Amino acid sequence: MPLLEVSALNVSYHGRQASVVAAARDTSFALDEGELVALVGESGSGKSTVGQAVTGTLPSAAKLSGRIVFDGTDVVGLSPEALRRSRRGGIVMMPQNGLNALNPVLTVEGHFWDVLRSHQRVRRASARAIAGSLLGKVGLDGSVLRRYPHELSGGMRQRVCLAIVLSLQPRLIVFDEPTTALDVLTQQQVIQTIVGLVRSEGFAGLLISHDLGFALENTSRTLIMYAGRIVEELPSGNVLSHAQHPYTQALIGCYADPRADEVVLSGIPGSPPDLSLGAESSCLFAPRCRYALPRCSAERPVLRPVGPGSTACFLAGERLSEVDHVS
Amino acid sequence: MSANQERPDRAGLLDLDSVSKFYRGRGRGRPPAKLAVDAVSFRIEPGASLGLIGQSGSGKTTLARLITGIDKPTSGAIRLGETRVDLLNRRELRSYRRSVQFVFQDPYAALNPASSIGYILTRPLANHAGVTRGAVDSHVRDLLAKVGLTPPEQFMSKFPHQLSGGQRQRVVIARALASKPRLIVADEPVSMLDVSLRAGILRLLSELRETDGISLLYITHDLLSARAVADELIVLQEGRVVEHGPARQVLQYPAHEYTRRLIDAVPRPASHPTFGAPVQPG
Repeated sequence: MPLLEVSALNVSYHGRQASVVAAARDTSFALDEGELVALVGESGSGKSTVGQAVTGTLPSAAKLSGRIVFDGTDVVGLSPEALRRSRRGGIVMMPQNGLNALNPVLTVEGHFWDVLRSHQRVRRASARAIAGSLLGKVGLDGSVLRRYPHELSGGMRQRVCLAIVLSLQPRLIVFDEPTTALDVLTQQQVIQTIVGLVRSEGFAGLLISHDLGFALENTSRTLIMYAGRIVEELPSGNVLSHAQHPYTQALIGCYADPRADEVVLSGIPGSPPDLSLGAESSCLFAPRCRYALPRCSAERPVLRPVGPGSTACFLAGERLSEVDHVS
Repeated sequence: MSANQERPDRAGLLDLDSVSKFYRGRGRGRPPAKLAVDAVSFRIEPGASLGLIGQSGSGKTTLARLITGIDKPTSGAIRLGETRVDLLNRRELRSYRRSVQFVFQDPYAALNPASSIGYILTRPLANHAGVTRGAVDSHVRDLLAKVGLTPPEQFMSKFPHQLSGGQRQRVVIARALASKPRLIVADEPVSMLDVSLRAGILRLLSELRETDGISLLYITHDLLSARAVADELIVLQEGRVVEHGPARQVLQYPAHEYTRRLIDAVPRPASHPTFGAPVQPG
């Protein structure tokens, strides 16, 4: 049994004048114990919505249907108190930006104290000891305990957030763009810490990112999301060689080796679709797709097994490179 | 500092001659004294583009502040064409800023949420370019078309929140173009945008160099985008230039350890060693 099983998840926002934004559409995936999986998509693709649904942190205006089964229990519809209690040993969200997530008038020690005592009976001195050892695990020393968030660098703040998250001994951590606000070298150090901890501590991770390259380098499996749906799923090591979906292939084209003799970044023309449309009867990527067939605007492709993964595209399984020669 | 007299004969459009900036510490709770920029010299020719690479705290942003005249250097000279930027007074700076425009990192924060796109573009046209009221609309339309926001009529009445991040950054670039600048200083203009939209913005910046002869100072810590837009690269570390050369050469044969570390940090999935042998389909 997988650790987390999400099936037919739909999340929508109902605005005034009967407008509905469907942010996640019929999304299904599973995560095994100890696995680090990437969820990749552009802004507005619904990746953060899925992360919020899984962690029970959706805004109250969101309407959710479907099942989110964690360790045998459906967590959809848990009361706020049950949800809060379930965090210890359960699912925890690691925030994107430590400066916004941390309380500016609380020291690092104060943050640990708040979190620890709301989940267990603990004395101040042992809370301090626990915090010190967790900070050690994320590569910081105990002197950070007396500091305030504004006194820390961006990378240190993310490490502090990670240590606080670890204090709940979670079995699944949802990392929502954990390194986006950091510079490249710090980014690399923080993700290496996360990957190391997944190995040593044994929790599972869902890494939400807009950066395909970053995701492929650090995870074992990659889910590609477009316009609220998972359109492709592959072992991360197979994405470059076996990506079938034209969207995934176009994303790959956004990367290049800066050392190459000739650097061409192709990008993807157009912009992501408006999600306020109702149930769609076409492939939502079709307007930006260079391979689109008439069928693509008349019928919606479903996710089906192709090669080592699954793809939602009528052309999956055909050699797109040959299709390319025709077009 | 020398007076406003001598004029090196082989100067480019933008010319920095041994520029340093020292920030004095300001007592308790203030940042400590720091030599943010240490004897930096470089040139950008008309229509050329220079990538300024460096980590946070390397002095990139300080240099941008000095070049745009927001701060004055502690020593050294900054010239734009015939103008000694570091000697300008407040009034002269105002007209100088017509020639040097800034494109910011965050297109969500750079546009007034309460103004329409048409109004946002009207202000610099009226203030800097001296365009009369009657001619403003057609100028705004030209600017929007130039940055690829077509049809322009559709965008003029919109507000920033109705546009995507990539479209907003195009508006920011259009605003920068309104005063007909000779140099655009772009500070991480694509780092907040989706990877799929970055190529379009970078292409736009390159086109502006070709069509309008605008020079570009591209500030980033992302080597891939720097390689895509810049002819030459400067790598800064702790305020000092540690590497300077043609972009391809700097990246293919990095001489400095710090440059090598930056290159290793670029996601390069195709060549990553942790990639196992691909599973054969079927």
